[in-house]
Amino acid sequence: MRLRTKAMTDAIDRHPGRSGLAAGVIIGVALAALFNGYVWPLLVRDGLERGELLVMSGKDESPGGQRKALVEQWNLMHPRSPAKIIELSSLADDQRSEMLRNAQSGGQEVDIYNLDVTWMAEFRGEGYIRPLDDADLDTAGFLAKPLDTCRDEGGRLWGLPFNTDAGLLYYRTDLVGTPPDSRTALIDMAPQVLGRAPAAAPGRPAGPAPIALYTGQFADYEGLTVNAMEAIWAADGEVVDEDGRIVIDSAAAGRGLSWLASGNPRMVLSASSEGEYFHEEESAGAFRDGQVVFMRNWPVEYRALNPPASDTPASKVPFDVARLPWPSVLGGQNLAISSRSGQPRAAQALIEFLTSERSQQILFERGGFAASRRLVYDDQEVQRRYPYAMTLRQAIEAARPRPVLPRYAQFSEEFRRIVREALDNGGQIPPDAVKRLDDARNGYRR
Amino acid sequence: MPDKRRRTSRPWLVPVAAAVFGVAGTTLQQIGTDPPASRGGLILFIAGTLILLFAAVLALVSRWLHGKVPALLAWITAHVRLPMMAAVVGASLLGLLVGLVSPPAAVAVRRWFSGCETVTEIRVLTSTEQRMAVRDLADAYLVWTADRNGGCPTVNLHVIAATSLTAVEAVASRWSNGALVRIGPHPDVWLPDSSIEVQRAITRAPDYGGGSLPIAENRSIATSPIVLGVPVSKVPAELRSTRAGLAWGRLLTESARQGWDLVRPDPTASRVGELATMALYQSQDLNAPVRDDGNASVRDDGRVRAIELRIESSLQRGGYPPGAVDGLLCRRHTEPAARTPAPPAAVITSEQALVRLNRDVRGGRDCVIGTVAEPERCLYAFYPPDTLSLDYPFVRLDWDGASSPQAFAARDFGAWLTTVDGKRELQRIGLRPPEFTETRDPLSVDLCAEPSPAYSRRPPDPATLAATAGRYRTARRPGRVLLAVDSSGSMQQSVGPEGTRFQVATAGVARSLALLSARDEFGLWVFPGRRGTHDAHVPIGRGDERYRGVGRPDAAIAALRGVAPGGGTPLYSTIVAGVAAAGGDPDALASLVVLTDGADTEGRLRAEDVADQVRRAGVKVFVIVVGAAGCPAGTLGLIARSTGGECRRAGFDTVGDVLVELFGALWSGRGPA
Repeated sequence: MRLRTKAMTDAIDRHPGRSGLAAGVIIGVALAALFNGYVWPLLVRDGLERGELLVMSGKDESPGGQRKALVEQWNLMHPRSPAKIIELSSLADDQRSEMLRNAQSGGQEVDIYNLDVTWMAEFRGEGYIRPLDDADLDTAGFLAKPLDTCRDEGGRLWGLPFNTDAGLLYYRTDLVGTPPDSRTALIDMAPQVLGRAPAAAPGRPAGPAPIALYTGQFADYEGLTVNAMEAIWAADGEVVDEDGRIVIDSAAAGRGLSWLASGNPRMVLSASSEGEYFHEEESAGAFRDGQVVFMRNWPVEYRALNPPASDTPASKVPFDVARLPWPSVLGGQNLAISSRSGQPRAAQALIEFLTSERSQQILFERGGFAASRRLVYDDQEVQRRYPYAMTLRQAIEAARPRPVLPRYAQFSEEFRRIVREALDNGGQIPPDAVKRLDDARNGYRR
Repeated sequence: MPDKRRRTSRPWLVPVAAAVFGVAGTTLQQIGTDPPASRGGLILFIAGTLILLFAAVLALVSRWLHGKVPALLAWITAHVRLPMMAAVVGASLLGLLVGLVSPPAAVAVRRWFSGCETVTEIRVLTSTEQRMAVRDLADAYLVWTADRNGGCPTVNLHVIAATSLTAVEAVASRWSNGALVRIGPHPDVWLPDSSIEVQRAITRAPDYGGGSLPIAENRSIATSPIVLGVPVSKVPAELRSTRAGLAWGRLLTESARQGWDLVRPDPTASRVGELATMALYQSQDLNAPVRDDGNASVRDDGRVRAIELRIESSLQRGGYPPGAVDGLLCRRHTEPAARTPAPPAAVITSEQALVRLNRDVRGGRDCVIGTVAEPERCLYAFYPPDTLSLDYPFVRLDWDGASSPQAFAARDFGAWLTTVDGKRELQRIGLRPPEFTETRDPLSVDLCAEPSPAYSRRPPDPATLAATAGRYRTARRPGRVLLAVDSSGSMQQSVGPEGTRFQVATAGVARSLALLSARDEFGLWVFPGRRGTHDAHVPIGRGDERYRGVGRPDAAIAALRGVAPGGGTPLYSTIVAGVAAAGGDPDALASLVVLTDGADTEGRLRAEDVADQVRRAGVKVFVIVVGAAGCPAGTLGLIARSTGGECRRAGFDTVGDVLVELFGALWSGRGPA
């Protein structure tokens, strides 16, 4: 060793010019690497990686495209890390499929996925998203339940809630004084409200007589999963219990579905006269036209029925909203960073910007999205302009998440098959329902 | 001498060994499934193949080995010690056993803890008419892969659907141009109804720039002939015996003699309608190209017009909507008995649509929930020997390169469709796969089909098809369309960078007005009006007549751009007045198209009253509801259906597409086909 060192120093002594050059190159390269890797990111204005950020999200259907407007604001503030939204279909299944394709095939390098809360477990489990750096992340202002959908079992944060959601009970104020506080109370109101003549309000003609008591969403999509799950909860039943066991075969669950399957067409209006089961829009249309007394729907329909820009309300009947007389399913979407993103710091900064209190206020007030931040609902001006705001907050705080499963999509699809069979059979749950759901959540298909 | 004894004492050894190895190898290959559905299966298959190969080598060299095996054994015995040999053989066997058992054991353990493996998802695009059938096919494939993989599917298929025109343009544009929003995710497999659509996409692709389309596979997987379906109770016994013998020409005559109405899907919106039109014209020898001056010979023109007039009258009498075959069959099938047109209608449709409808009727299912179908509405299929067929191509699109997991999964799906199991499932959804002779439901006599009809499986000649389209355009009655656009206060709402709802609607109208031909008539209303329920901005007039010095489309677009939305929505009053204004010309197909984002706010009329007033006016009402409102039960849908029209929902992204499709069907001019 000593000999080798000596030989080296001899060589340096013999060729001082070359040795100096080599040493200079080595030190220069090391310094450049150090500067680019560590010093420059600290020196640049926000420490974010440069380059375009791609956000994959469902179609922004809010008035004025408020999500896009926020991204435009971000771009003005961060011209070196501008963002662009890749818009997908408004159908959740289509969105998931394109996001999966992107994650699986390695196509366009998307930085942020806007994920439905029910897909978090799948994207996390498959390694399609990465955890957030929560060292300096202040999450105190978020509503607890939406934020919980972003955490794994260990409490690690994998995203932030872009918007949240909970179902509301829309009711006709010309027929109903005090909204019901339980499923039984709602059903018991049927003879009274269906037989009553709608009251005329000043300056407004009397609304049409309803043809049914209640409507919700019954087409073969996630809406049916949500409505059926809530119906089961409303009857004190469960689909998956706290220990993760599937318990849909209970009498309570059957009671819940049998109400929706009621043979009395005056009780539940589930489809149009053309035979098409309702999505959100069609059930809102039926409520708007006064065909039903009560409707279960998302808060976004409040503004569709009572558009702020219009001088005449869209609804033919006066209405108000209340909390559902049973727990609502917790909806919403979370922003998460793709594990393939080459700009994780910039992506996280964009997520923090889009979920900040100011952004959430804009998204709620201008776009009608249910905010994930408490402060938005506490705002006096918001409460004055949007009387349903506090009701919505209470509904979110009381809402329940759907089962957290890596294969939620398969589970939900099989659940809907079972529900459809039950609804076609007077609410009787098929005897193999537990096995079928268990298979589905484990990915089996038999 | 001892060697000689040994040589003759065991002559059976090598052949028996070859046979044993052969049996073992074949068995392992069979266990491994064909093709191997899992890694364990693949290992078994490879092991079986190697052993089989060894058996073959043994058999080949058996003559040479004959007598040498004992000597070889003696040499081994002399030179290798028994314990050593036992150890080597034992270790080899153990290794083989571990190799065979460990992969499936590992899979079983993993599945015990965490369920099935993650699967690749592929997306399958098909036509709106095929949506339900392709979902059934996808489901069958899923179950098939699960059956061969311990209950775990190896792929998931997500089915999306679009109309022919939309799908062709989206594929041609390489899924740009808003296809992700308007249709859905990138399709890995495209299953259009006909190879015509694939050719059209390839032809249109250069218009969108870029290189060639990423079509990795393009072949027909099945066919379905165009047939004439007649309510089974209306078919005389003497006609039943000639169901496969009457050419289209004779069927036209015979159906007229029997007093049947004749309905056909719209050729501009449906491939069934397009091929049926070609077959009808061919049977009358009417497919010569239209002359350069735009006119066919007077005699031929008259015959084509007679066919089209008969179909138009039948559609009008029965209140059928224009468009695809599913809407036609559903309407024909579910119309309440009291409103069913007096003459029974014979429906030109694909055999597949007919047998699926018949199966649903037999199964007690119906288009309308809760309605019990009447068995006599089952349709009896006639197979003209000169009919054409849909050739259902399987098109694989490699958006992400040939080595992506999606490409492999799509390839496997395509390969499965050529297997016996795949063909069986194709038949189960009502199609006829090639070289498949099993006869079963739904292609059976029980469901009013002919088990083995003779028909051409070749795709249609593009030149003849183009000639047919030309003839059709000149033959049908011109369209007379009054468009009423909602300009109420809610239309002021912004939908994003595209502008307000009203501006987006205006852009959609502008696209559709490009389809207006000189023969068609068009007028524009906006409601509410400044003083009344509506303002007539452009009165109804021919497409080649200028209005206030400019072409009608330009006048309409300029008028819309000058409107400031505001006020309520006198929707019902506008519909009543619009129907009165659009009617009155028996030489034109009159329609009222209403574009709105809301419900009637006037409250003067009830939907039932409106439906009664417009039902017999001879004007079809089409309501396009944009935005969140949808087509509510019992109101707009009821009014539209009462006239033979439709209520359609459109998003602000898709309103242009919906208008283009609708106007393409209503006008005789430059239809999208």
